Amino acid sequence: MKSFFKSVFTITIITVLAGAMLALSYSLTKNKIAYQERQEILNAFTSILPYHNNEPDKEYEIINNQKVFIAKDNGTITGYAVNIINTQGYGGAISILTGTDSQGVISGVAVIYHSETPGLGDKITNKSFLDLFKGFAVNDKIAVKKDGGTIEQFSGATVSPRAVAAGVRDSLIVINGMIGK
Amino acid sequence: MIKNIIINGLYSNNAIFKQMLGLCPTLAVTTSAVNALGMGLATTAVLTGSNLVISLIAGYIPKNVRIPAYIVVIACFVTIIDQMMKANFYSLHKVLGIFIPLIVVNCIVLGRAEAFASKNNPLYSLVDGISVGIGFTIALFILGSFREIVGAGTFFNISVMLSSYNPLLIAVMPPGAFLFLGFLFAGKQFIDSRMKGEK
Amino acid sequence: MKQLMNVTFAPHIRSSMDTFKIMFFVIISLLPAVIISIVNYGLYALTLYAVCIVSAVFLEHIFCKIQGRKSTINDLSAVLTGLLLALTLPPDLPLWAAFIGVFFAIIVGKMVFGGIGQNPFNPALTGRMVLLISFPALMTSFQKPLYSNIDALSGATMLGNAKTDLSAYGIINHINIDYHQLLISAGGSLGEISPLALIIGGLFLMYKRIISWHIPVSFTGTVFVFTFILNSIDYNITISPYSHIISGGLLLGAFFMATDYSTSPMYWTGKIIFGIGCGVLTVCIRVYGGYPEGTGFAILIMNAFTPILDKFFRPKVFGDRDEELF
Repeated sequence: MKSFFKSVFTITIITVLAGAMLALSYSLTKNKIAYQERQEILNAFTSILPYHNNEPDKEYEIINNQKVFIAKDNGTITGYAVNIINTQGYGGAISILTGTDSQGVISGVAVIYHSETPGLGDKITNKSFLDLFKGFAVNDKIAVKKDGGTIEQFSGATVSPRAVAAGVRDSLIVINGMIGK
Repeated sequence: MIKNIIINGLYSNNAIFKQMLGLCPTLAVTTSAVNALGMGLATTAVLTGSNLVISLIAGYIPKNVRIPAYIVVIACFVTIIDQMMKANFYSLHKVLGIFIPLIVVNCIVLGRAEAFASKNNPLYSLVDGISVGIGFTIALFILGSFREIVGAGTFFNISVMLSSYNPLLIAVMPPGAFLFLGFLFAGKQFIDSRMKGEK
Repeated sequence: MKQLMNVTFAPHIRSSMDTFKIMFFVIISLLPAVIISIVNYGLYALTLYAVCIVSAVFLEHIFCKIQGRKSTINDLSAVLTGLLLALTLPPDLPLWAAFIGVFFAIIVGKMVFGGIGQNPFNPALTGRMVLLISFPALMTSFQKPLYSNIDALSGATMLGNAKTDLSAYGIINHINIDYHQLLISAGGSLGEISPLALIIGGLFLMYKRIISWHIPVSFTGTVFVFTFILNSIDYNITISPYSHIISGGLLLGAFFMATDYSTSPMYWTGKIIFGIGCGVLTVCIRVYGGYPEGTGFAILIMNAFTPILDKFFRPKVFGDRDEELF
């Protein structure tokens, strides 16, 4: 019986001490982790939108059941962003974040999530591919070359670029609906 | 004694090449040199801390609850490392993700606690933790660099191959981990047998 | 090398067939397909065959020398592995890529396990899959055969096109199979060029009793029945069962790779289950998988089941008692 209590006592002491250590470490790193996580979301917007100093994920309007994020510079609207999920990818859904300036001209495109074939379709995350979309507006023909457009598809994969192009097209329509309001 | 501990940890009893412990993180995170280095150093930090603390408290822990006690100590260190990494190396932490908490169940860490730290004095345990950890890191780093150079044509994200180089993509994919680890084992055996003077 | 033939169950009657003869006949039976592919794809195809065969023999010889063993290149098995690998490659693959494929086929697929008869996975397919996973762009762009009568398909096979169409338009452009396509197909890998040549080669091997009918028939039969059912449910799930049979590496795989002695079951019940497994997996990968063609993956996956199939399905020797399986 004595050894039983000794075991319980030892384990209790160790866990309490470990808990105290963790509490200390948590309080030291908490703010920094929260800051980093926030920065991660804002970085995505910074990379595709024109200059802004607000937090676009907190300012949005709903158009056609889609959130349109609004970028502002000291209260003046500088751009819009839409996150659309296109399900026509080769490996399933592709989540695309499209950013435009205040006139609806594309300032940047980012692929947030995808499951395309490694080495083929996953080239849609390449910067050189995504930059091809810059400068297009809603009335331009945004399509891969195979469908008569100007977006260069890469050898061996047409489906994934086509899905991204479709996603960007849909986003522009939503953003245009926002601008026209 | 200390010299022996260091040689054992780094080479002759290397966690990966000789004991084949901790193969799960070895296979999973060695897709690039940076990831391998990050994982190796995180494990080293945990190992050093847990070895030191366990050798200090081992004498006071009743035999029948020693494993739970060790695990609590290890888990505590892993969580601290996890939080530190998330605060200071956010992008690396995002890649390594789930594998950092899993250091808790890395058999190298508990293995050293049970086999070495609980039986030796704090100084030796500290040296053992560092050298086994560095040995593990070196093994991961070799595999990670190998896979990154062959499979992506880069080293620390800097292109090192000719622009016409067509990366052997399989090297950075899961099957490549097994293949290239096998190549490394074969290479180590080859070198060892040559060093012993065997044909 | 005689022990390869001795891995049968009793009674141990020696036949005059040895490894060299078997390999020789298999190579002979592949020649029609090889010749038709060279006619269609020109001199470069011939170079590709030559590079694959020569480097296969060379690598096997070198590896044997490094290990300090007797060289095993005289049994022609390295030649056959090189030839089979070449047949699974696109006709315009760069030579360096072919060499990498041969390296993985001969060294990783065969020699590290101890050479012929010891390898658990088909070496040629191992090489092809490493290439497919590593260089998907190179491995899935095909030039059109010279004498093909199909214009609609350029740069993609029927299977690849079906997948692309399906994801873009939701429908499949069905192509009628005529006799010309039996002789010269719509294109693809070197060995996919002529379904007829492969069937003739396969029948020749069956006639020579080098392969039995079980695996090819159960394999292709399963693919046919499965795709027939899928097609009856909805016309736009996949291409027709006939197209499935003649396209991709199915015939090449069913006759020449799934029947490989050391990687397929020995007894007929095991063989039939092996063939059905290959067929089901092939269709699943073709229709629902990430890659357009699944024959190679299917055979490699079923290779892994071969030891257990051999354990479950073996003839009972007279007077033998039931023993524990595991």
